[in-house]
Amino acid sequence: MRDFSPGRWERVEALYDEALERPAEEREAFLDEACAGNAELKSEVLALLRAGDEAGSFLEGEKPAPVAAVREALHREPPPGSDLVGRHVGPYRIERPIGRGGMGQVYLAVRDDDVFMRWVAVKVIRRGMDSEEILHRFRTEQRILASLAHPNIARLLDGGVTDDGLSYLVMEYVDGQTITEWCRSQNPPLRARLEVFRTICSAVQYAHQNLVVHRDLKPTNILVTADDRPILLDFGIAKVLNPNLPGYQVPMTRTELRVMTPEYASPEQVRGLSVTTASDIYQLGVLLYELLTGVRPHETEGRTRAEIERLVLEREPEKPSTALSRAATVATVPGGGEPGSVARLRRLLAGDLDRIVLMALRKEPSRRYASADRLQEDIRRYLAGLPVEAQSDTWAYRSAKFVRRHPAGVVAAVALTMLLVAVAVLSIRFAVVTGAQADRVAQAARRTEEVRQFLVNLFEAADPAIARGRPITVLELLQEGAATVENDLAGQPDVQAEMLGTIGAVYRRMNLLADAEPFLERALAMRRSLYGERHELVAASLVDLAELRALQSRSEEAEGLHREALAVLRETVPEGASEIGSSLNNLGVVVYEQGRFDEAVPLFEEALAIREKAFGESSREVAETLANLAYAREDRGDLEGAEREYRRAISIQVRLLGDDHPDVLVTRQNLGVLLMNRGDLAAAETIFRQVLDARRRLFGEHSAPAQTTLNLLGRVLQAEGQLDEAEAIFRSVLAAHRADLGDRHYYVGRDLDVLAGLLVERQRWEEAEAAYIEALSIYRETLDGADHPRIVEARSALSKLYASWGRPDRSAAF
Amino acid sequence: MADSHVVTQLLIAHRSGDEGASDRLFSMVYDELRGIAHRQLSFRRPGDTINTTGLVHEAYLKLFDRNDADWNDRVHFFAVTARAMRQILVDQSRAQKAQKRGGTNHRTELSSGVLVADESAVDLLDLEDALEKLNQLNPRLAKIVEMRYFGGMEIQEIAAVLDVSSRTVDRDWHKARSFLYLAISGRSEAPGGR
Repeated sequence: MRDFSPGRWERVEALYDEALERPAEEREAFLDEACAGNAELKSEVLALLRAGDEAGSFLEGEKPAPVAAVREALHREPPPGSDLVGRHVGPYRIERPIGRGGMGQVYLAVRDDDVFMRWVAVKVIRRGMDSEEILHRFRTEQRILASLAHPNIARLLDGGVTDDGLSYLVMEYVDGQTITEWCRSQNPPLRARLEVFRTICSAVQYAHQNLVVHRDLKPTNILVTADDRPILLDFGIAKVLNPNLPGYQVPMTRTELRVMTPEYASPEQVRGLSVTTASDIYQLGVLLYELLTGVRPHETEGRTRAEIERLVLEREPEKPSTALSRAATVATVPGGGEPGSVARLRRLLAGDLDRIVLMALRKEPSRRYASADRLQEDIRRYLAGLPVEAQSDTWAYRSAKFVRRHPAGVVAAVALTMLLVAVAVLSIRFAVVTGAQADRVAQAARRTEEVRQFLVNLFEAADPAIARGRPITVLELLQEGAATVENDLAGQPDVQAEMLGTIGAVYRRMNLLADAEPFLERALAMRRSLYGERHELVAASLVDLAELRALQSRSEEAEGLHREALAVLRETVPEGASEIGSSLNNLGVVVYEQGRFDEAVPLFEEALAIREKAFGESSREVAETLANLAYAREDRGDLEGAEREYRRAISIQVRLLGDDHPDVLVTRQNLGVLLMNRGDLAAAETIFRQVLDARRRLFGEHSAPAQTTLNLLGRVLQAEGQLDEAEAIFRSVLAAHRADLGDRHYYVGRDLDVLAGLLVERQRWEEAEAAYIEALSIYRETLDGADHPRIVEARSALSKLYASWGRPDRSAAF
Repeated sequence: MADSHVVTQLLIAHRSGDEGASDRLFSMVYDELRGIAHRQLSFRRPGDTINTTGLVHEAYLKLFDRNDADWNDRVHFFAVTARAMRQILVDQSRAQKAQKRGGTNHRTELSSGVLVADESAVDLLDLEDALEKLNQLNPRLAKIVEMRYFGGMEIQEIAAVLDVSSRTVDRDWHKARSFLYLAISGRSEAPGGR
């Protein structure tokens, strides 16, 4: 072909564009004139124009041809397991295919090297999923999964890799029909369905107690045997096959491959967030919905995946009793088909069963049933005619609904919510995460989730209004929000108090502490006058204000408020309620932060006991308190006890959240600190480098969490005698903290304190002295009492410095 | 396996011109696409077709944190995907050609028609050569072809990635097609009629 000259190309392009603007018959004349005798230029442009006329649909065909090439190259491998029938997989002889799931083909197989025959189900994992990885995860999970011995859970027996490199899992073979088939064929009455469901809940609870989350509970994973016994399949398998959370993106139906519709996915799974036991509760809710009504919470027929996801995230499901109308003709409804049965069923569902189902299906994990057992218990109570735990919704929804009724205030409210989100996210990104702060980070993360939901609801209502608006700054929005609350909500003091408290909390999160104060104080005062001293909401406001005081370094006041909140809670909520656990935990943190480690320990211990009961032994809340307890024990000198709690906390967290979750990193780091303090420097260094690496990846190179870890790495390097690297690290952390937090922040004091220690070691006395003195003056401003351990330690370090320096004279001056 | 937050972070760095991030992002997307293609293909019966848009969409769902990213991030992500797609397809094509020289003809199995999308299907390696030439003359035109043809992106999306008007993209796409058609038809007598 002709080679276009690069020197001329720009000109060619310009002429081509211009020529194209003209009618075809004028183009040549135009080029004659424009090229002014440059024949080559003209012929190039003309050739291009002609090619353009001839090109037709060149490169624009509907299906790009290259697709065929990918297909060909990749097609050579046969589908996995297609040729397995009659062959052996490990000691199992494959008999026949019995189904196909997201992960691959399932076969009926028999173990024939035993004296007696044993039937099993063998799941051959489809190719393309990394066999080695799967096998590795299988080995790590195997012990736990194999130990799940429950009559309603199919055992995982074995796993391995076939000769041609396919991984497989071997499970107990269950002879039964899926629970939806069972409903269709047996048409069991309501009570029988509820009893079967309770059994399922108990099995799930058992697994949760053994630290196994199912992640993929759906009718095809629940078989019912001929004697009406439900058996759960694939417990914990989702994690082995796909540990990185995108939970439900496990593809495939029978013949065509597609990404599974998110019909059974929980909102957090749709978002790709951490999958916890709460996701299983949600999926149990979907299942119950289907058992009661014959339909799923959201109409998914004919919708795209994106639409279904939106429904899962945003739409409140209709009550089961109402949803019956969608299912009126479906035979899967209890008592289905009989005249009058639907109307009767509707009466049965309305009320308690509606509430129970909707509570399991709440968008925010923390507002669902705390455990499968609590869900099961509520069904039992319903069956026994007792009052149930499930209640209708509380504040987030009330506020959202309020906003829908009052469109004028919506823009400001939306703004406020956006703020909440932004601030919640910021507070995670920039929270300086050391030790006891782990608690706050965890809380912030949870709140972000709730706030997001709130935001979504608000956006729905306010879309057109925002579209017209100009960009507004964050602070403007906040002020506008406050004004709206003052004016428009005057007639509704309860909602007003709620919003004032929210605005205060937003200011607090933005670290505008002085601005936050009046709002939080007013919210508390209003609630006191509305509800009296002894009310749960008063306790909530007390906690809000306490957190502000803690941030203002007014620890004693914070402690007083927390104690007051605790006292109110003890009178207003049942003994052992989770709120009391949280309150004790928060109080423990404040007490701990004042250096009263001995006193903090029993507070955490009581919190732990409550949380273990309320959330289960392997819950995130328990892990949180365990970590706090570990920290307090450590600072009190009980290193062995601390290490034990850390390791327990870490194992729970890893199981619930995965390896690289921010919370896990916090606890790991604290374990590193402990090991460092015990003198196990190499182990500590390894942990710090791991955590640092993960945090840089997650939060960014210069993020506050990464800085904190860096600081610790510096300290361990110092202890190992690598002083140059250590000093460089300390100085960069100090500079970053000064820039982010101001010169008088507690962390700046800590950084100086640490740096001074290193300078002493290097015998750079004057620099060390200056650093200690500045650190002490910051400590005195930010810590309570001259006998705070940090102050005592720094003072004694300073006098040691003078002794080593041989300048006791200076000591007097100081 | 890829973490969508990591992808989002990389994407932000990529957009601000961090080359290391661009490389890492590219290789993540490349691996993911290959993996997905691999899986999709191993479960298809002969006669099914696979579509690149679907492939890209699945990679997108898998890799991309839809909560944190805006529309702009998304189209940039697609642009990276297009590059990965181009790379994969060209690699496959090379491998295939090498194999044909080796004597085993896999085309027989594929000639049922459904697999080869349409009669005017271009030879991918010819296209790649021509695209490289175009890249020498004006990289933006080559980039547009990459996004449009290999990534199935809309004109408007491409315009956002390149930060130019849709009209410009439209004109450039026209030009690029003319150039490529000319380049490829200059090689074989009847372009597209192989």
